[in-house]
Amino acid sequence: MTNNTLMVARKIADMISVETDLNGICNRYNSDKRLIWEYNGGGSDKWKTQMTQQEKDLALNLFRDFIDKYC
Amino acid sequence: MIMISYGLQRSASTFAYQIIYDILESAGHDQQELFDRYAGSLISAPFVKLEDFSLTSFAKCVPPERIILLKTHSFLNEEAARLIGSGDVIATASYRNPMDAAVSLYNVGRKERRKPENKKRKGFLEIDTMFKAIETISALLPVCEGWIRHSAVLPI
Repeated sequence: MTNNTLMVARKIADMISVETDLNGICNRYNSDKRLIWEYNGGGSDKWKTQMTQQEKDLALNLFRDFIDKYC
Repeated sequence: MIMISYGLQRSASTFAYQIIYDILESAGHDQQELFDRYAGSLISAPFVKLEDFSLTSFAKCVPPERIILLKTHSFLNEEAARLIGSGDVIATASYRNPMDAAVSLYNVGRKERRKPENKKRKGFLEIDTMFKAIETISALLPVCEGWIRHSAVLPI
C-alpha cells in the first residue's frame, strides 16, 4: 500500500460522508501489483526504461497536452 | 443514489473500484443486496457501458440514502454529466500518467499472448507493439478528460 492509496481512500470516504477503517481496507490490497497506483496522474516512470527513443517521441507528442494539464 | 467509478484503461481502475466498494460495504451499503433490489432488468452487472441503459431511470429507482456502485470505461455522455452536475449521481475518475498507462497496456498484451488459448483476454491480444499501445491510450484520453474536467467528479 502506498500513502497515496490511503489518501485517495480518505477523499472517497469524505465524498460519501463515510467514517470507516480505511487503513484496514487499504491493507487488504497491499501487494506489489497495487503499488502501481499513483495519485492524480502520477506514474512509476517505467516508460523511461521500457520505451525506445522513437516510442518516447511519439508518446510525448501525443500525450504532452494531457500531461501538462493533469499530471 | 448511484456512484460511478470511471477509470482510464490501465490506471488501476479496478483497484479504485474495489477500494470504493469496500468503503461502501463497510458503511452498510451492501452492494449485492442493493444491486439485486434496484438494478432489476436495467443492467445485469455493475460493470456497465453507460450507453446501454438509462441512467436517469436507474437513478430514480435507488433511494438517495443508499449507494450503488457502478464501474465504467465509457464516455461521459450528456445524461451522466447532467446527473452528476445536479448531485443525483456521484462519480470518481481514476487516471494515470499516460506514458505509464501505455507501457502497462503493452505489458498486459504481451502477458496475454503467452497465456493458454482459453485464458486469453481478446481485447489485449492485438496490442503487440508499444506504438499500438501508445496510439490506443491516446485515443482514450479524450474520454478520460471528459470525466476529470467535470467539476463534480472526484479525480483520483
